[in-house]
Amino acid sequence: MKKLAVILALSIVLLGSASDESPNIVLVLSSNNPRLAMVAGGFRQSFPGAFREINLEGSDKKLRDVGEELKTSKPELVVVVGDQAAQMAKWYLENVPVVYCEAPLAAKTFQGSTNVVAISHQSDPMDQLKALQAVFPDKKRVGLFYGKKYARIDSEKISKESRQMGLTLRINALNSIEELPTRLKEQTSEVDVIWVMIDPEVLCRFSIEYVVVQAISAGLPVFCGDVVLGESGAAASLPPNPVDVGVKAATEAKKILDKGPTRNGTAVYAKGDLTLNKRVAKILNLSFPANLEKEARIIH
Amino acid sequence: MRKSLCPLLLISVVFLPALFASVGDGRAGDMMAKPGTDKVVLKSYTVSLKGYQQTVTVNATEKKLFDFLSRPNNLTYPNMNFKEARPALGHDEFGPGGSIPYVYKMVVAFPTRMIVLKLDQQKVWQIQYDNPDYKLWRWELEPVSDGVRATFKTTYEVPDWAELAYLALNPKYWDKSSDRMLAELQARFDPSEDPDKLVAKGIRGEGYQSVIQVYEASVWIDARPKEVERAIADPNALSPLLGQDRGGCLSRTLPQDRVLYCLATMDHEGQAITIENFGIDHSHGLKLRYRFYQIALDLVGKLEIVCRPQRRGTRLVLTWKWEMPDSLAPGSVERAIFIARLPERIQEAASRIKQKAESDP
Repeated sequence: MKKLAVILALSIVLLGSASDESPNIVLVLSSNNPRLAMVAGGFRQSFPGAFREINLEGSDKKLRDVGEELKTSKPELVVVVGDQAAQMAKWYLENVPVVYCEAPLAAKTFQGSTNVVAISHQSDPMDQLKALQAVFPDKKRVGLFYGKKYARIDSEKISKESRQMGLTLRINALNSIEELPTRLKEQTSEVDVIWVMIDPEVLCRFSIEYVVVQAISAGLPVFCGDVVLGESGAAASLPPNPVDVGVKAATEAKKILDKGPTRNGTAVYAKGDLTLNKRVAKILNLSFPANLEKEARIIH
Repeated sequence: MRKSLCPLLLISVVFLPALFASVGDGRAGDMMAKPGTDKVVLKSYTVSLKGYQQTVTVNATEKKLFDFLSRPNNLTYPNMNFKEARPALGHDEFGPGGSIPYVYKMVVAFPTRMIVLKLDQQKVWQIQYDNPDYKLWRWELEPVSDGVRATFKTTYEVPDWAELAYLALNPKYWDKSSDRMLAELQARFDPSEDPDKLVAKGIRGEGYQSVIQVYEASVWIDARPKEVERAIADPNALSPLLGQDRGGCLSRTLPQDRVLYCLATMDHEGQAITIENFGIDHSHGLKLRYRFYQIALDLVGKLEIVCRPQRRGTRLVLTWKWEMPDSLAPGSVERAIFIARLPERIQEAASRIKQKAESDP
């Protein structure tokens, strides 16, 4: 009986000390960007266990300090939100399973890495295709542009689906940014709308404005599934819902903890929010279907 | 043998120069051209551009860092050596338009020059020219709780002849030099940091590839180069591209043997833009060359005007290069519209120069 009491007391002490330690799951945000905060909100809602939350606040110094600290504490799993947090995980947390989200460059950052699950920074390409047709019902010829190396595109599936939808899809899978001007120029007279998939190297922040300029010059609208291009130069977009991104990250984190990383190399898509840019539409003399204007987020 | 050579010689002497002349400028029949009949020919193409970008936090006040970066000889690539800093012509003290000759070494030493443009308290742009043809350093500063977040971007044109040399030497050469320079900047304002450790701990900027878009408008003018030069100096001639002169020294007559470094402010459809005039370069025979850098809406452009004598007249070539902006900031739609109209503007400028030169007595 005495023995049992000692064991019980010891267990209580040990459990108590364990609960005093920082949780071994870490959510790292890159900055105070409101969209990243919404992702964190979605994660908090859905993740069932305890986790520690760190904000790098956009600081490279903090990135290094947090990286060094986590390297020592060796978390069981890290969920990174934004590119800076993804970089920290890549540089400092070798062999730690990672779920990344809202990180357009992370496909490049984690190239060749294992134990990594991506919540895509774009919505599902099939959902994008359907939204594109709904927004531009009269535009039948679509020019799709993406970088071959990092964009996870099932071009056969998209081609088949677009044929069934009565669309003519011209696929431009590019190897480098240097191919972009020629291919874009060739396509502007042959398509009615430009559909862009953002990737870390080709259709990236260093070239998207070029795409917008060339498209506007040719009188063509741009459609995408990414929030940055969606808010700036695209006429319409279907960016992922940030709260749902957080929810998906929580689901994937739970799966990894339960079974280990099972979806390595494949992207998980959050549901998209239709966004219409009326400013760009005005320049292009476009109008959107009235029913969509009621449902969509409008940029004036 | 001699007989068989004669027709070949005749062909070579009489026909080949004419053939090359017409191929060279993309038009035949200049000899027959009448004033005003030639059309402006527009070409567009791209050239390779390399870039690097990284953000670091510097333990300094915004003003301190701004002042420090405004004198680029305070901070250089490890192998770069500034010779002197001097104010630009027309300026009493070092400031916007400051001109700094320097030398950088990569196997051999390249003499070149850097111009500093301070756009506002949070932006310092440093334009280098000559080697390579298009090179720009941009600093953007943002105050944060633990100092200033400094984003350094550099872009440089890689001419075809240099591409192989870059690859053979070290394709990451400039990226690594930039990493090191940023580590030294952080350590300079925080003595507890060591540049070697900072580089080892993760200052690894993002190197990238991009392209420069080039528009080239070419036209034959029935006037001598001197007359074309006068037409170019007319304030209306380049206004489709550069706007109206608000002040500065663009309209100043430049001595032939001298390069003038100066800044002017132009009004372009309500937007104030800064232009640097690199003056006239007569070093290439009878070529006349102006260079301008335009900075508007965070957009860098470069206009080069070349006039060369061609068959009793002048061939005028306006070349406009612009770098794809690397972000979609607010205002990008306006910028996109501005860029989209460049081909039309450059054609209009070439037409105006032609008209003016051919109509003047």
